[in-house]
Amino acid sequence: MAERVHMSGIGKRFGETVALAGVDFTAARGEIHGLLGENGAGKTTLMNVLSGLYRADRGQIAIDGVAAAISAPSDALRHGIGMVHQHVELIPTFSALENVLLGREGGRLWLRPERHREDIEALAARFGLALDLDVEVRRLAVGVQQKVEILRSLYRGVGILILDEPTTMLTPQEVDTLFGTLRAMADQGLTVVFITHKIREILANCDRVTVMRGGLQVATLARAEMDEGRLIELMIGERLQSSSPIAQASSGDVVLDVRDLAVQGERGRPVLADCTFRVGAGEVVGVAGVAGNGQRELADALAGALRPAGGRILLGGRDVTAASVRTRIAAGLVVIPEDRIADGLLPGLSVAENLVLGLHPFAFGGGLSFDRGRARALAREAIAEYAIRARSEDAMAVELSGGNIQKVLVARAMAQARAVGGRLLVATNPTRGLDVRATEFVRRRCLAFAEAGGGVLLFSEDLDELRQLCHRIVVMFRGAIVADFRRERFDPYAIGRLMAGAANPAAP
Amino acid sequence: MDRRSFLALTLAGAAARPGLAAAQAKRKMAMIMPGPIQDADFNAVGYLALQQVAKTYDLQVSHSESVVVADAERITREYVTAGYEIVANHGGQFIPIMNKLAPQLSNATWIQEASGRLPNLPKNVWNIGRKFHQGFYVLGALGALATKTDRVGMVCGVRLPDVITSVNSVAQAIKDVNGKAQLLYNWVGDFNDPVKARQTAEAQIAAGADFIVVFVNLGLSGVIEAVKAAPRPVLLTTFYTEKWDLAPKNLAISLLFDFNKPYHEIVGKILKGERTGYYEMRPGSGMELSEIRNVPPGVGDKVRAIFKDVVGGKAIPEVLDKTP
Amino acid sequence: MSLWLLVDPHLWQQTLVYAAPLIIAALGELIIERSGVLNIGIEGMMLVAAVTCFVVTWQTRSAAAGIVAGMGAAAILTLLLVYYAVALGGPQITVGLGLYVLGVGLSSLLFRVVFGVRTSPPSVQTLAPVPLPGLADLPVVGHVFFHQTLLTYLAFLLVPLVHLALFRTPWGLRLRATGENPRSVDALGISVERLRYGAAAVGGLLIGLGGAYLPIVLTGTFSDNMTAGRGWLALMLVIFGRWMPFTALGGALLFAYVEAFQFKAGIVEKAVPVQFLLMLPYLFALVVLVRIYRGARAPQALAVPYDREARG
Repeated sequence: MAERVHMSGIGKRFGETVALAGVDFTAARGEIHGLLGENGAGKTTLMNVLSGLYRADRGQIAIDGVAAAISAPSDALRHGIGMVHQHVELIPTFSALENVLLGREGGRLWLRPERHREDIEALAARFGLALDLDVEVRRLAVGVQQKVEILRSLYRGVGILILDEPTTMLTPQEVDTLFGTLRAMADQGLTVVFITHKIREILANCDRVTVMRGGLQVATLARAEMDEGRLIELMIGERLQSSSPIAQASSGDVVLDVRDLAVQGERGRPVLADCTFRVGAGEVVGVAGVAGNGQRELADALAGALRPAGGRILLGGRDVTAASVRTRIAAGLVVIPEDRIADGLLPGLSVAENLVLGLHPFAFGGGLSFDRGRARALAREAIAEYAIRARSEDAMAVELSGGNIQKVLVARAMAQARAVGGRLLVATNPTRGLDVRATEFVRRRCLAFAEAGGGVLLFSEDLDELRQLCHRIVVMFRGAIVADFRRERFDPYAIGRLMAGAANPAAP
Repeated sequence: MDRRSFLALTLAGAAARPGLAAAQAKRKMAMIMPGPIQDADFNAVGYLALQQVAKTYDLQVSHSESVVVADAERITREYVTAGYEIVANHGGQFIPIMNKLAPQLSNATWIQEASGRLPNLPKNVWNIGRKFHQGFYVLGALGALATKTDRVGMVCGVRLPDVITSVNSVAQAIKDVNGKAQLLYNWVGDFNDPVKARQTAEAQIAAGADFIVVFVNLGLSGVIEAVKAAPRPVLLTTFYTEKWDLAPKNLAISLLFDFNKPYHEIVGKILKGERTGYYEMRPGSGMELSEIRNVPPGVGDKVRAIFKDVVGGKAIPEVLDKTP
Repeated sequence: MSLWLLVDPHLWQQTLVYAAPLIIAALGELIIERSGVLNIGIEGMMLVAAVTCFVVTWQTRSAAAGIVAGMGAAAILTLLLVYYAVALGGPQITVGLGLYVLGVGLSSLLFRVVFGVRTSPPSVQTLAPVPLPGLADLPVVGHVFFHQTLLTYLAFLLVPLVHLALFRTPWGLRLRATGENPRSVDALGISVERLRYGAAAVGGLLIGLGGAYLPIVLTGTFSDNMTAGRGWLALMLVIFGRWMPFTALGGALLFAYVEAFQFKAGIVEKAVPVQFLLMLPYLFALVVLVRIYRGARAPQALAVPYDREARG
C-alpha cells in the first residue's frame, strides 16, 4: 500500500503549552488508520494541522509524495483532505442538501439545489449514506448528522477523510453503520483516519494504528501486532488491569427506592415522569440513555437540588423527597456531581476546604466551631491516599487539573461515607475527560463503595463503562425508566434501541 | 511630580498672570440657547443679538447651544464660576433653573425670556416678556381672511406656555374674523424635527387646510416640503426672520422679532448697575410684520389694520389652562 | 373619530413614504447581521449619510451625486466596524456605539463647517414623485402606490431583491452560513472575512441610502439629529422581522402606519394627551414584538468574533 499522507517533524505550541513535539505520521491508500491516545496526547491537534485548521510551527507534509503547503482549510481541501469533527460543524438551520452544497454550489448566479440532488443521492447510495436530504439538520439524530458531514466531504472528492472521535454520541447500531461506511470508503481507495481513545474500536476496525502520547508518536502497529494490553501500555506507559464488579453478595436490602418520580421542566412540560426503580445494597446500577432524557433532573432530584412535582424518594427507608440536602447527607447520600467545577468545587477555596465541604457538620464537632487543624490533617491524608497532585492542602482548588479535581471530589465523597455511613453514591459521568489512570482509579473507588455495602447509581454516557462496572443497567428515555437489564442479559444493541426510543419487547 | 518640575510650573503660572489680567478687563456675558445657532431662526437671532451686544459694549461673550434643561444648571454654574456676570437664558424652559440659581449666585445677573411678567422675580434678574400670542393673533387673522377652504392649520412644536397661548389666540382670531373657518392643529413634540413637522402638515393639508400657521423652528423646512407637494395651493407663515427665498410662492408673512433692541437696552442698564426690570416684546415693541405676499388683494390691508389695533392695546385673551 | 380614518388612502400613501427609509436601512442591517456581525451604529451612519448627501447635492446640484456620496459615506463607516470585528476581533457593540456617537457629532460638525451660521437655512430640491404611466391613473390605489419618488419605489423593490439574494444565490447561502457557523464555512475553504466585508459593503450602502432618503426626499435640508431614532428603529426592525426581508417590511409598514395615523388622529382627537399619541407607534411596535418574538432565532454566530485557532 502506497503512502498517501506523510507528515514529518510536526511541531505546534499554544502559548506555553507544547501540543505537538515533532510528530511523524503516515497513512496509506485504501486503509483505515486509527489514531489512538489519551485526552491531551495531541491527536486532534495533529489532524487539525493536516486539515488546515491550525498551522504547524515546524515540520513538513507530503501528499502522494509531493510536498504540500497547508496553512488554511482551502489548501487542505485542494489536496483532497477533509475532516469530520467531534462536534458536528454543520449549519443547523439548513437542510442536509444545503449543507452538502455549501461551497460547491455550481458557480452560477442562481442557486438551484435540484440540479445537484441526483448526484448527491447517487454518492450517498454508493457509500451507504442514504438519508432524507430536505430535513433541517438540527432535527436529525446525531448519527445522521454525521452522515451529512461525511457526505459533504465526499461531495468535494476528498481522498483523505479524517474523523475526530466519531462514536462519542452514537448508539451501538449507529457505530456499526459508521464503520461499515468507513470500510466501504477504504475499499474504494480512500484513506480514512479516525481519532479515538477507545481501544475496542481500534481493535475491531483498523488496518493500522498510530499511538500518540504527550505530543509525540510512540508507535505505529499493523493489525497483527495489536492487542489491548499492548495498546494501553503504549498509551499510558504502563500496564493496567481494568476493573470489574464482584459477583453481587446481595443482602436484599433496598438502599434507594424511587417511585413515580415526576419533575416539571420549563413551561410546565414534564421532564421526568413515572420514574420508578430501586437500588439494592452492594449493587452498582447504571443509568444508560442519550443525554437530555432526564438524567440530569433525576440526579438533581436525588441530590436535593430540584423539587419533584410528584412521587417519592426513599433513602434507606427514609422519605427524603422534600428533605434538605443536609438531611440527605445524614441519611447516607454521597454525590459526585457531573460538572466538577460548577457544581462540585468552590474554586476560590483551598483543597483542604473543598475536601471538608458538606462533611464538616458531621466530622469536626459541628455547631459553631470548626476544627481547622483536623480538617487539614484529613486533607493531607486524602492527598496521600488518592495521590492527588497539588502543591499542598492549601493550594487553590482551581489550580488542579481535571483529573485531580475529580480525585478531590471522590475523596470527599468517600470521607463523607466514612463519617456518616454512606448508603448511596450517585455519580454522574465521573470519568469524563480523565486519563486512563484516573479513570481506573475512580471506577475502582465506586466499586469499593458497593463492596462495602452501599448502593451505587452511576449515570454515564459511555455504554462500555456501564457494561464493565454494573450489576444492572436501567435505560432512560424521555424522563422514564423504560427497561432494566441484569448483567447476564446485557445486550448493547437492545439497550441502544431502547435509548433511541424503541418499544421494549421484554418486560424488565 | 518632582520638585523641579513643580517649581517650574508655579513660576510659569505666575508669569502668565499679567497677560491674564489684561484680558480680564473685559466684562463677560453668556447666553444659553435651546437649539443650534445655525437654525436661521430663533437661536440664530439670539446669537446675533449676543454678538451685537458684544461689539457695542466691548464684552467678552460666550454661548452654549442645544442645551437641554437637564444640563442648564451645570452650564450656568460653570459660566458664573468662570466670571461671567451676565447670563442670558434665551428660552422660557430655563425659568426653573434661573429661579433656583439666581438667589444662590447673587453676583451674577440674569436676563430671562418668558411669556410675560414672572412672579417673585429675584432681585438680580431682568425679565423679557415675549407676548407671542399677541403676534400670533394677527397671523391667525391673516389665515382666517386668506383661507378659501375655511380650514386653517397650525403646526405647533412643544407644549410650552408660549405655544399654548398662541394656539388659543389663533383660534380667537379665527372666531373674530371668519366664523365659518375651523382651526386644525397638532403638536409635533419637537421644534426642530423637519420630518415629523412635514408629517403633521401633510395630515392637516389632507384634512383640508390651505393656510398653515407655523410655530416650529427647524421643522419649517418640513412644512415647506409638505406645502410644495400639496395637491392645491397652501400658504404658510413663519416668524423670527424673513425667509422668502425658502418658499416664495407659499410664504405669506413673517412675524419678525428684533432681539437686538431688548438686549441692547437691558445690557446697557445692567452694566450701569440696574440689575432688575421688565421689558415687554410685543407687536410694536420688538415684534413687527414683514411684507404680506401671495394673498388675495385687500387682505393685506385688513391685516395691517388689525396689527395696528393690537399695537395700540387691543385686548387679546391670554389663555393658558386649556387648548381649543 | 370615525373609523374610516383607518383606511384613508392618504394615510396609506403616507405610510409608504415614511416606511421607505426604515426598510432600506433595515435591509442593510439585515444583510450585515446575517453574516454574523452586529452593527448598532446605524443611527450615526444614517446621519453621516444624510449630511453627506445634503452637502454634495447642494454643491453639485445633483441629487444622484448626493445619494451616491451618502451611500459611500455610510459604507466607509460600516467597513470600519467590520474591520474592528473581523480583523481585530473587537467588541462589536462597543465599537458600534462609538460609531453612533461619532456619527452624531461628525454630521453636525460637517454641516456647521460647510454652512456656518446663517439667517436663512440652506436647502436643496427634493425628489419629485414619478407617476408610473398607466398605473398612476388607477382609482384610489393609483395615487397611493404609483405616485411616489424613485427612491420610494426602490425601497420596496429592494425587499424581494434582498430576499432573492439571500435565499437563492450561492453568495446568500454562504453569507447565511457564516452567520450561523463560521467554523463550518471556514472548514470548507471559504473565506469568512471576505464574506463579512462584502456584507458590510452592501449593507453599509443600503444604510446610507436610508439616511440619504431623509434630506433628499422628505425635507430638502439637514438638521442635527434628523434621523430622530430611525437608525435604532431599523435595528429593532431586523429583530422584529426575524432576519427575513419581507417580515421586516411588515414591521416597517406597521410602524409607519401607526405613526401617520397618530398625526391624523391628533387633529381631531383632543382628549388623548399628545405625548401618548407620539408614543403610540413605539408602543405598538413593542407590543407586537413581544408577541411575535417567540421562536425567532438570531443567526447563531451573531456578534461573536471568529477565531480559527480558538480551541473548543
